[in-house]
Amino acid sequence: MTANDHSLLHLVISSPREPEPKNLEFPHSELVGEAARKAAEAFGYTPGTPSFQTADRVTLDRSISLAAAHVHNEDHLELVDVGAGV
Amino acid sequence: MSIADEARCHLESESPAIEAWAARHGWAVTIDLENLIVIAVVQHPALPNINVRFRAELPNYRMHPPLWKCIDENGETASSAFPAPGEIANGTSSIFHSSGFICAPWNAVAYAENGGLHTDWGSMNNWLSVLPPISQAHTVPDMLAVLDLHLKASPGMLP
Repeated sequence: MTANDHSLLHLVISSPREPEPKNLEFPHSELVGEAARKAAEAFGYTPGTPSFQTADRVTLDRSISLAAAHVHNEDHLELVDVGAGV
Repeated sequence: MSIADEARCHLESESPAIEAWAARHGWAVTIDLENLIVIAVVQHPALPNINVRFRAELPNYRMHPPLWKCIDENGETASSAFPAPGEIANGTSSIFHSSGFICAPWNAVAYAENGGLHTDWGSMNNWLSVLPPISQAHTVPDMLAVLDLHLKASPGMLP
């Protein structure tokens, strides 16, 4: 692993629309909303309001960094759209 | 190809993802390809003894969105079978309307042309074009994920 590798989080990301997850990398400092947007693009989503849910089914705040959201290397997250209803 | 056959092809292609999502999240999902119906059942997160049953009819999927309703244990629609709305994070409003509708552009029942409340999304022919920040879900498993998200914020069932 190089020095640069330490600056990246290696995550396993699932999407509702595909049975198999993807391995994706993001900087620790990336905002949750921006990382989720990039992950959503990787799964072919059109624009939305994506965020991540943790394995404990906690939905992450899109406005904070992955580090601040306590996302760790090799964590398994799942995409979900947090857009509004009504 | 008939409209029903086209809908069946779409639903069949999404079935592996539906089943994978349901297995990950502990939902019981039945996919009836013949009749183009999906039934998804899960325990209400705030009410351990209550199951919530979502029923989707997909007669014209994906030209139109599914018709999502909540049903009771007898398969009937009833207010008491519907989750009460609760805000998800940051004050985002629920897709569960207090009138007993799932108010999202991916539910045909929400459109005025089907007796729903919404004229602002245009025709349900345009359901894939409604923009954020309104809830986005363009496949059935995406819809199940959004239902799950909003159900977690529901404080109980409607009376």
